[in-house]
Amino acid sequence: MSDPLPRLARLVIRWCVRKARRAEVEGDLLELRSLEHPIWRDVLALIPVRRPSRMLVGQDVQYALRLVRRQPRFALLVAGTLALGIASSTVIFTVCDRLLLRPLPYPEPERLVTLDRVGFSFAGGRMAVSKAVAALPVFTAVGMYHPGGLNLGESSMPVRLRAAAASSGFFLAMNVAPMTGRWIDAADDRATSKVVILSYDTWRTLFGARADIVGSDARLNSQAFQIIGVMPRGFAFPDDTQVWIPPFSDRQLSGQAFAPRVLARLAPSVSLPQARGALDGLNDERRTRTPELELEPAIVVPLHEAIAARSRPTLLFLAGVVGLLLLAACANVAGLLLSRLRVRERELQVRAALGASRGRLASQMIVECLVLTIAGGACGFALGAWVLRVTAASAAPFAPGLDLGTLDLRVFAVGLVVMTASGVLFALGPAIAASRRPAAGALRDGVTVTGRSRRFRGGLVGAQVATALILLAATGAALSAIVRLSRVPVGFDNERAVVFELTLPRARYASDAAVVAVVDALERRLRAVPGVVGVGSSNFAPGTSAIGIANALWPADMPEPSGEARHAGLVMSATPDYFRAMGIALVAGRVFEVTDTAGAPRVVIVSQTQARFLRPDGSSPVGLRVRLKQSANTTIDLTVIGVVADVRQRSVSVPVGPQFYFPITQYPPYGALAVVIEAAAKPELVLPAARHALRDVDPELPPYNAVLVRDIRAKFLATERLTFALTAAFALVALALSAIGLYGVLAQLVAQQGREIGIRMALGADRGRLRRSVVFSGLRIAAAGVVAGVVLTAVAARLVARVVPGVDPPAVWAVAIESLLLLAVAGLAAWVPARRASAIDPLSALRSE
Amino acid sequence: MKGDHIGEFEELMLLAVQALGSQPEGAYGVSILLLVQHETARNISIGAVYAALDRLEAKTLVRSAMTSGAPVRGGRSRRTFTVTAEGTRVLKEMRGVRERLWQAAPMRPARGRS
Repeated sequence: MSDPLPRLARLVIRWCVRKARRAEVEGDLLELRSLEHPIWRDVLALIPVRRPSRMLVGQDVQYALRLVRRQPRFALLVAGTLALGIASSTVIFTVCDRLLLRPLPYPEPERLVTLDRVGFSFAGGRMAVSKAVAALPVFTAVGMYHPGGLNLGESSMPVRLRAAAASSGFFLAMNVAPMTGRWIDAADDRATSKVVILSYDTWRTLFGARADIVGSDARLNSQAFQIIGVMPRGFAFPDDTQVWIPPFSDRQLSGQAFAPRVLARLAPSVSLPQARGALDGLNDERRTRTPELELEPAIVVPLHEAIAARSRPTLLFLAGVVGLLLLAACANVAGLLLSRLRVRERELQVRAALGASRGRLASQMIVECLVLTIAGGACGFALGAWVLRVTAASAAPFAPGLDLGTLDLRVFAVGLVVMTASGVLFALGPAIAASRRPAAGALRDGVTVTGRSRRFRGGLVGAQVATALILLAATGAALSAIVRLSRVPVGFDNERAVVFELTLPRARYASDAAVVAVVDALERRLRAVPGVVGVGSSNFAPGTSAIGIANALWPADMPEPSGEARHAGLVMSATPDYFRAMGIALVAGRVFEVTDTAGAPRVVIVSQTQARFLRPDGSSPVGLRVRLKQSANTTIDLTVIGVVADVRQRSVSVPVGPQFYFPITQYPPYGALAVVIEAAAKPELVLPAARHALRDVDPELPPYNAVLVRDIRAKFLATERLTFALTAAFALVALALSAIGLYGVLAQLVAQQGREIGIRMALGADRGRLRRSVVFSGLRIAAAGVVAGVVLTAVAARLVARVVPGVDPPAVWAVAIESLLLLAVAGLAAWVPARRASAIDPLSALRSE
Repeated sequence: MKGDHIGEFEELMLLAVQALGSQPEGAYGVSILLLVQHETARNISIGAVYAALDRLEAKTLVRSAMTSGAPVRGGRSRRTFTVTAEGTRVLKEMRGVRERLWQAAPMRPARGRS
C-alpha cells in the first residue's frame, strides 16, 4: 500500500472528476507518483478551464453593438443615465475627497495646527507670538501669518497682489522647501527686512520665470523689496497667496492685521490634547502672576479642519444628495436592463434549448452590459471633467488653494464599478433563470411575465420616485434657505452705486493729515466726473476685502463693562456722504458734516444694535456721551450724533453685531479705503472715467475689486445659490429618471398584456377605461414611492439637521407640493403607454401571439 | 463518415493502445502516457490522455474495461483499452494515406552528409 494522495489533489479529483472515474484517476496518479513522476501538473490539468474564446467574446461585442444600433433609444437611455449618475457623483465626491479626506499637500500635514487665543507679545509696537508659546516643547515651530494685499509696480498701472505677512516660524512650521532661494528667517522678523518670496505662479506670470530672479528687486506699495526666494508649484497658503513678506515689513499690510493667525507644527507624536494642555499650563502661570487676568482656554485645531470648516456642511449635504442620485441612477439602469431582458427571455430560452450553456448566455449578458456601461462611463467621465474645469473657478471659494481642476480617477472608478455591478447583477439573475427554465414551455407559451418580476421592477421605480422626492425636498429646503436669507435686511441698498477699493501706500501717506488730505482730494476729483452725483469713503465697506477691528463703547457715566457685557463693536470710519451713497438709512440724529474736522469735538455714529447696548431701555442715544478705550491706559470720550441701520459686512447667515463709525478726519484709515460712487444713471458707466480721475490725484493708486452695490448682496448668498443650483439640477435628473423608469414599467406592461388588452377590446371594453387603468397602475407605483419618500424625507431631515447645522427643515406644504409634482410627472409618464394601450388594434394583437 | 476523422494526438493515442495491447499490463492511462511521452519527448498530462481516450471511445475506435487494482495503485482499479475493429481500420487507412504521400514525396539526402 502506498501513501494516499495529498489532500488538495483528492479535493480536485472530488470536484472535477465524475464519480465513476475517480478510482481510476486516483490509481493512475498514485502509480505515476510511484514512478517519481511529478503529478502536480497532472492534478492541475484535471481542473476544467473554460477559456473564454476570443472569438466568442468578439461575437458578443458585435451582437451587443448590433442591438445598440437596432434600439438606439434604449442604449441612449442606459448610457445617458449612467453618464449623468457617474458625472455628478464623480464631481462632488472628487471635491469632497480633495477637501475633506485627502491630507494637505505639505510634509507631515497631520502635525500642522492652528492656534487661537494664545498669548502675543507687543515688543516695540510689533505683535509676535509670545516667546513662552513658541518655546513650548509640544511644538517644533510656531509662526504667524495674515493675508492681505499689496500693490506691485511703479508704473501708472500697478498690479494688485494677494499677499501674506508671514513670520519665519510660519515657514518652519509649513516646512515646504523653496524652489530657489530661502525662507524668511528670524533675522527678517526682527529687522522687518524689505524682502519678499514669490509663489511659483507669480514668478511665472509676473516675473517671466527668470532663473536669476533671486536678488533682484520688486516694488511693493511704493517700496523696494528684495526677492529672496520662489516657493514650489502648488504652494499658495493661505488663500491663494502670491507673495509673502516678513511681518511688519510693510506697515500697511501689517496694519490690516489686528489678529494674526497662528500656525504651529506639533512635535512628533504629540497629540492635540497634549498641545492644549501645554497651552492651558501657560495660562495658569499667567493667572498666578496676574490673578485679575481673564484668560480663555486656547483653541488648537488641525489645519486641515480649519481650512475645510467653511465648506464642510455644504459639501456633506451635496455628497448626500449626489449619493441618492447615484442610487436612483443604479435603480434606473437595473430597471431598464431588466425590462429588456424580459422582452428577450424567449430568445434566451430558445438559445438555451439549442445548447447554449448558462455561462455562454451569462457572458453575453455581461458583455452587453459592459458595452453600455463603457459608453455611459466614457460620456460621464467627459462630462464630469468638463464640469470640474468649468466650475473650478466658481468653486474656488469652497476650496481655497486646492487644485480642483482634475477629476479623481479612483472616485470615477468606484462610481463606474458600482453602476456596472448593479446593472450586471440585475441582468444576470434573469438570464440564468431563463436558461434554467424548461425551454419547451417557453416556446409554447410565448413571453409571459410573472407578477413577481413586475412587482420587483415596480419596486425599483418606487425607490426612484422616493429618491426623487427626497431630492426635491432638499431642493425646496435649499430654496427656502435662500428666500429666508435674502429677506434678511442687509442695511445698505443703492441701485446706482459702485464700490471699489484703494490702498493708500503708507510710504507716501505717512501722517494722518496726509491721509485726510488725499481722501478729500479723491472725493473732490471724483465728484467732478460727469454722471457722478455723490462720493463717499470708508475704511470698511460691506463685501470688501478689508479686515475690521473691534472695540467696546460704553456710556461715559458708567464703569467700563467687562467680559460678556463688553459687546465689542466693529470700528469703522466714514466720510459725510458715505451713508447716502451706500444707501445706509439714518434712523436718528445726523450723519457727519464737513464741520466734523480733526480738531472739532469728537463724534460717533452708532448702529441700531450698538444703540440698544448703549441704551437698553430703547431710548435714542443721540447726544449721549460715550467712552472708548484707546490703549491700555487711555480712554477718549465722544458724543453720539446719529443712529444708522445695522449693516451686514460679509454675510447674512450670521447675526449682526454692534457697529460704530468715526468721521474719517478724526480716525484716518490705515491704508485700505473703500470708495462708493453714486451715479446719476448706470454706475458701471462712470467707472472708466473715475479710474482716469484717480490717476490725476495719484498715478500709483490702482482701484481694485470694483463691484456694484446691488451685487454685494448677491455675493453674500453665493454659496447658498450654488448649493441650490446643484441640488435642483440633481433633483431634476432624479425626477427625469423616475419618469423614465415609470414609463419603462408601464410600456412593458402594455406590451406584454397586448393580447389581454386586445381581447378586452374585442369584447367591447371602453378605451377610456383601459387608458385609465394603465395610468392608475402607474400612479399606484408612484404613490407608494411618494409615501416612502415622505417618510424617508422626515428621517433624512432629522439626520441632516444633526450633521449640517443651518439647513432649513423642509416645510410640510412644500413636501406636499413636491409630492403632487411627482404624481403629476408620473401621470404624464404613464399617459404615453396608456394611449398606446388604448390604440391597440384587437385583431392584430390577437394575431401577433 | 465524418466521425472517422481523428486528430494527430488521438492518432498517437490509438497507436499506443494498439502497441500496448500485446503487453501483459495492457493499455491504460499510465502506460499510454509513459509510452507516448517517451516516444515523442513531449510533456503530456494524464488529463489530456483521458480526454483523447474518451473521444476515441465515443467514436467507437477503442473500448475499455475495468480491471482489478494493483498494490502500487493503492488497490484502485484501472481501465484498460483495446482497439476495436473500426479502430484498426482507421489506423490502417491513415497509414495508407501517409505511405502514399511519402512515396509521392521522396526525401532527398540531407546536404553535406552524403
